[in-house]
Amino acid sequence: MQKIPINLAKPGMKLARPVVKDGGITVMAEGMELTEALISRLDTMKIDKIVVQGNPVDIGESGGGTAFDERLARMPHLFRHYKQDKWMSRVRDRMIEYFRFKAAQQAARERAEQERDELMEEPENGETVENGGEA
Amino acid sequence: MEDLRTTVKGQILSIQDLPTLPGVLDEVTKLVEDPDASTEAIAKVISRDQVLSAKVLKMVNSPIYGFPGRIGTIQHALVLLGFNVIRGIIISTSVFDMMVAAMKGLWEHSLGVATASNIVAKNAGFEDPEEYAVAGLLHDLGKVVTAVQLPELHDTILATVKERDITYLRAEKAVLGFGHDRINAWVARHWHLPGNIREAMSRHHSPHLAEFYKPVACVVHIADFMVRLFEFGSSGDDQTAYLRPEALKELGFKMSDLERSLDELSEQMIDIADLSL
Ligand SMILES: [Fe+2]
Ligand SMILES: [Fe+2]
Repeated sequence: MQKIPINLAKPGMKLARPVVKDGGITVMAEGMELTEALISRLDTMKIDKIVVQGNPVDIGESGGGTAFDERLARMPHLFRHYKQDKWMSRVRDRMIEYFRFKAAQQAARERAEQERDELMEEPENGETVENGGEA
Repeated sequence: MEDLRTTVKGQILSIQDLPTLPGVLDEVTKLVEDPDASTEAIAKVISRDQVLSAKVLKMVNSPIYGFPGRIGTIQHALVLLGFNVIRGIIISTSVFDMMVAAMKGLWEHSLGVATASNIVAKNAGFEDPEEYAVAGLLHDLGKVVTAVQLPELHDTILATVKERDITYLRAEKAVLGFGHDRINAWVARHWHLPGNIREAMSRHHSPHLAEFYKPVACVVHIADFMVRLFEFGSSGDDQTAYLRPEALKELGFKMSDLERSLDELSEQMIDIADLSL
């Protein structure tokens, strides 16, 4: 999942978090698929950021984040000064294992999402339900 | 070295330019010591400073403290979270305020460690996790103090991190003769912070040496390690922290507990990513 500014939102993206206004009122539910109309509605509501599924936008973030494959790749660098330390080497290997598992899980989930979307789109002649996953 | 230490400590604590805390904080601290003062009276004093109140409400309603979007007034915040937490929030936002632009990365790192401390404390079965969260929020404040009080030495520290590829803490020791953990101990005493928060601030890199309040020092230590794994924000260097096995042991934490905490942290990080000052 990724937090993006509203001007980078595109139809077809799906909300990974509900959109909540300042007073704590939920205006769009998690899982909803964005359309042009919904995006401009968010815009008029002065919502400036949303959280969407997957990592659809390359924002060039400063390293940190929850893209687990990226974390996995960073482990040797972060632990580089503890190669001689037995305990820290064990910790590093364990963390590598952890992020490898999380990355695989994330990839599998995204694949399943995609397959489900493709199945959904066929029979209904492309017509999507107007108020998303709410019902 | 001893001399430099004394001079630097003097410079850091020189009252006239030590980051000034909002005047209401003094007033409030006095009220808290008065057994007859009500929460209502304390809330009234804080609420007088509207900018400050808005910042406090923004923080207490963040996912870090576990009541997202549900606290409407300062009084409600005081009742739910207690004075120590509110005071810690006032101090951290005030000190970071002066440095927003330059220290945005450290602010994010601190928000991350606050969140992770809450998670670790909960998973260790401790009560009042928000006390741990505020200790996490304050844990690297000594770095901000150096940047404010000794900007040239701060630049030298940053350059040393790069040149010698060492941690920020090691670079501080090379340049100043001591680290932000020591500075934390001074400023925590100077601002009369409670013992548990002081100990977490001064022992988060060496929790095994904590004499009092060892658990909170261990919680923040592990939280710092976790946030550095994600490189959420910037702690001043790009390395992991040495994870003290004693800290895991103190909390009865197994690797699986650590991983469960990492799971929760990765879920919550996105919600605090743009919690600006
Ligand atoms: Fe630190
Ligand atoms: Fe830190």
